[in-house]
Formats: sequence, C-alpha cells, structure tokens
Amino acid sequence: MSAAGAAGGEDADLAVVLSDYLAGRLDAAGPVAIGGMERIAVGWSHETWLFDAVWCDGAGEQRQAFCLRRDPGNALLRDQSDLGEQFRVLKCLEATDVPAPRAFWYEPDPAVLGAPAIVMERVPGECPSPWRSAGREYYAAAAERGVLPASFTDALAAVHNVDWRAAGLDFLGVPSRGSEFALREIAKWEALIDESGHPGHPILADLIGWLRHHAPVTGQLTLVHGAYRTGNVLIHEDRVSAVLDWELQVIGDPMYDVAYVLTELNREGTELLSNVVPRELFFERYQQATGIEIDLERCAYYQLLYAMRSAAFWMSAAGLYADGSSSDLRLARTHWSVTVALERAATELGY
Amino acid sequence: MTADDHELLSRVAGTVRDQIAPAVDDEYARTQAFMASVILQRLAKQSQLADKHRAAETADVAALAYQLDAAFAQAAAAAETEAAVPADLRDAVARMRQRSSIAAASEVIEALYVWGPSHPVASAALAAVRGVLRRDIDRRMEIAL
Repeated sequence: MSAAGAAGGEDADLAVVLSDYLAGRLDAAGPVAIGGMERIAVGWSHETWLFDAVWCDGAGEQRQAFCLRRDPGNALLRDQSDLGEQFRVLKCLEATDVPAPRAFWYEPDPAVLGAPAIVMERVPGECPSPWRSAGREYYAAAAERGVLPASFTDALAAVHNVDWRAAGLDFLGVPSRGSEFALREIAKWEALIDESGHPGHPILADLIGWLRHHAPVTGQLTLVHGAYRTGNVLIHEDRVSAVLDWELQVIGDPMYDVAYVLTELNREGTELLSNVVPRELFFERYQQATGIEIDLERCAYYQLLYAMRSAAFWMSAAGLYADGSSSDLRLARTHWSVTVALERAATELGY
Repeated sequence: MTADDHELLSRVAGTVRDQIAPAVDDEYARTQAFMASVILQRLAKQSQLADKHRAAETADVAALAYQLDAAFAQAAAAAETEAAVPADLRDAVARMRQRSSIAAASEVIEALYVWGPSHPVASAALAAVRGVLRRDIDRRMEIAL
C-alpha cells in the first residue's frame, strides 16, 4: 500500500491529503499509507469514505480502519447540520453504553480535508437500505433469526438510558419540562422551510398551527437520536454494532424516537417495526429496559411532527436545486415529494 | 404554453427514458438522465392540467370566501358586533378573495389559529378551508404521482 493507496481520481487525491493529515496526528515514525478508499454515501447528506491506514511507531506497525465524514456545504439539513456538534456528541457517547463509533478528530477548516470533516473509527458491520428489496429481505431474515430485533430495541433503550447531564450532552440545549421540546422542534423545521425558499402551502400552515396548539407536555427528558430506524444503524453478526447518523439528536421526549420506530413511513410491506422488530417485542423490551411507558397519544402527535419534518426536508432538497446549490436532479424531483408529504399531513389531520 | 406542449414534453421524457438514459455508461449520469425523464413527465402532466386546475382553484377560492364571509357575518349579527370576528381574519379572507389563490389561505388559517380553533365559528371555518385544501392537494397529487 503506497501513501496514496491504489485509489484513482478524487479518491487518490483525498488519500494523499489524508496521509499528510494523519501523519500529523498519529505518532508515526514515517509516512502513513492509505488504502481501501471507498466512498459509501453519495448525495443528499454528508460525504462518507472508508479507508485503512498503516503506519509505524515505536511499538511497530500499526493498522486502523477509519471513516471520514465530510460536509460539502449543500447538505439537506443546511444550517441544522453541524459536524462539530456531531463530533462532540460522539465524544460524549464514548463513556456510555450506546454503540457508536469513536470519533478521533474534527477538522473545521475546509482547506485541510476539502470540507469540514470528522475522522472516526470504522466500526465493523453493514447497513442495508430498508428502501431496497435486498435490504428488506435482509431485515426479514434477521427478524426470523430473532437476535437483531432485540438488539435494535436495546440500542434505542441505551440511547434513552444515557445520563445525558453526566455525559456532558446538555450542550445540545435542554428544554423545560412543559411543551418546549415540541415547540423547539416545530421552530427548527420552520427555520429550514424558510431557508429553503419554498413558497409553502396552506396545509403546512394548518399543520404547524395544529402542532403548536396541541404541543404535548414532556415529562421525562432523554437523549433523543431523532432518526432511529434501520438504515441508520450498523449491523454486525445480527447485532447493532453502531448507531449512526448523529445529525438530528436533541435532549427531548423519548417518544419522539419511539414514534419514529412505530411509524408506517419506516417500513414497507411488513408489520415489523422499522422492517425488523415485532411490535409486541419492541413494546415489552423497550419498556422493561428503560422503565419508560410508551405513550401512544404522544407518539401520534410526533408522527404529525414528522410529517412536517418530511415536508421541510423535501422543501429544502428542492430548494438546493432551485437556488443552484446542487445540480443533482434527484433534488429537483423532490419538488413533487413536497406534495406527497402534504397530502399525508392532510390525511393525518383528518381531511 | 400551447395545448400541445404537454405532448411534446411527454415525448421528450419518453426519449430520454427509453433511448438516452440506457445508453449512458456512467451510473450517476444514467440515474440523472432517468430523473430528467421523470421531471419532464411531471411537467408534461402539469402543463396538460394547468388550465383545468386553475379554473377549479378560482372557483374553490371564490366559494370559500363567500362561505366564510357569510359565516362571519352571521357570527357578528348574533353577537351584535363586528368585533365578534377578528379583523385580521376578515382581512385575510378579503386578501384571499382578491388574489384568487389557495396559497393565500395560509393567512386565513394562521388567523383562525390565533383566534382559537376551538371557537365554534373558527372550527367551522377551518373545516370549510380544509375541504378546499383537500381538493387542491388531490389535484396536485394528479401530477405528483
């Protein structure tokens, strides 16, 4: 493996940059060889590469599998996504039971790695897409074997069981115990809608009005992942080896995550929650592991909040194409996904 | 756009989908070509339905504004004061009628929520607005799906 590895094109250039970057941070007694460069996510959110590094130090040859996550500046979440915050969250989680990758370095200067970036450990596992038939077959088979459903539930319980104050996660902002959590989320997605430049629609005005009017009181505050589902967790030997995509985490109502597990939006052609967990098992195991009783009324509310969030995502995506930030036609197509999200919201509001 | 524009757009979409995209080797570019065909097909449908949808929207907004004005007048008469219905709400309905646009119903909805959706008159008004919004989103879904 050479310093630049065997990659070609953009990957080769990045390998050279990474070699220099890591040489300055590892106690290397020579060049750091980079190999196995593989880009695993293209498009709407952050750019992700996996790679291996080999170097020598006083103890001999060292090897480490890394993951590089870069923010190209045109991600769907715009200002709502902050790699620096993600890095801080991952550092806080290291001392907890939440399976998550160890983060090594955060590089905010885009001149160094081409964009603000995090370098973290590469956790073994795979992450089949639940939106593809191969992924759904994978999760159905795993559900049959029975280990993954329990592990998926336990990993969410671990997130909600984190002593977030002790872990230092209160920097995320702590809502009061009234209805401030829901109101904060509404404001966050309103800000994204405003930023998108989308003209909006009266159904959205209705949805936002309804959400504000019915904002539930949050009794218990936990760490909330914000997008906990299959596709956002890494799986190794039928167990969750890492919870990924720490972009939407907040301190808030654990039912926000539970609602996301329960929602029909995150399963296709199956009664299994998130394509993998039998409902009864999830309820029993989650409640036992957390001591938190699942409140279906609050979950129903948060499913409407997710309808608003979906509309905001699609508006943001369509806006990125419309304002020239992206030339990806998949984003242009989401102009019509906004309509689908609003239709769903209207149905959930009862009309 | 002319009446035939949607047919032209639809044919271009088909050419991109059936002839151009499959001939592209690079996976990303091929996906983009397929996306282009989907977008062109939606624009073709939008072009085809534009006049019909616009006419339906105009009729819906006019009927809604009439219905809301009547309901608010009845509420004011019952309370013997026009102030029984918030001025912001009456103004929002007037603007919606003037613009003849469902988009302007957002202001009406916001004013209804400020008034309080549990108020019987506001609740009935919101139900009336929602009926029009349902028809509007159904029309949009004809294009989106």
